[in-house]
Amino acid sequence: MIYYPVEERVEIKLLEVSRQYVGKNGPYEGIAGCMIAFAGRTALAKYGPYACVSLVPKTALKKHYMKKYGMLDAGWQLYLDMDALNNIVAKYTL
Amino acid sequence: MRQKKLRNEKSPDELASSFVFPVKLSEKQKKEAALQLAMAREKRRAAATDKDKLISGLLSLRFQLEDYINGNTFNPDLSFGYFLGEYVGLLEKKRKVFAEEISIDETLLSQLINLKRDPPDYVTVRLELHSNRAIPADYWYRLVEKKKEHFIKTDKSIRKKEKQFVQHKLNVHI
Repeated sequence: MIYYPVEERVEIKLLEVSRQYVGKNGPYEGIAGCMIAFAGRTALAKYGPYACVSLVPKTALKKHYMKKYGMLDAGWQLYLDMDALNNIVAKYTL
Repeated sequence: MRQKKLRNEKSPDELASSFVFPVKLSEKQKKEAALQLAMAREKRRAAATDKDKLISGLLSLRFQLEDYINGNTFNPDLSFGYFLGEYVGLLEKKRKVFAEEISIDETLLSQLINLKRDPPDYVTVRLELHSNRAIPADYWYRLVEKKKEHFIKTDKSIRKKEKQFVQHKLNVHI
């Protein structure tokens, strides 16, 4: 994660689930979701209500992040803030 | 190399469920990306409902509180009064109105916010109920405990005062 305090933002630069948990037949679901929610929780605790989590997606995965995690399109980057961030944080961390 | 292999083996959906791959942008692209994001966030912020803002504020306050009470350090600035003041601030209500909502005197509310007294247990429970469990009573309670714990650990005057009441203290060191 990279912190941008002035922008009240945390960027996910790299996220990687352990090999045995990758794929449809893995024993657990939602590991990456938990990690994105953790970044969101960190951003909210550090930067307050207008905190943001962002990532620069590979083009082929963009729509999947949007569908799976409710990420919003800002051109080069995808992001979560306000209600979109609240939803994923509430789903995975509360 | 490994990324390429993964992309050949797994579907995009599976990859999105397990990875965020680093993407390199040129300086020009970075600037463009920053501008795009700032504009998108500004629009969202302007369009956010009061309810969204309140939920974001509550989550932020809850996580700040959690991090503090679960941490090992004592910070006199992060007191019960500070967090209570922040909570009342989030509601955008006058103190008098909020005091009425939890059936306490406005003077007591001010005393709590200004650290003139510690909260009775019923106040922590009323705060939990008022926030619809967004901030549990034990979080408020643990804030008070944290202050007491720091006092009991570090206060020299109480040790000096109580020394006279202790006799035949153990003559061993551990």
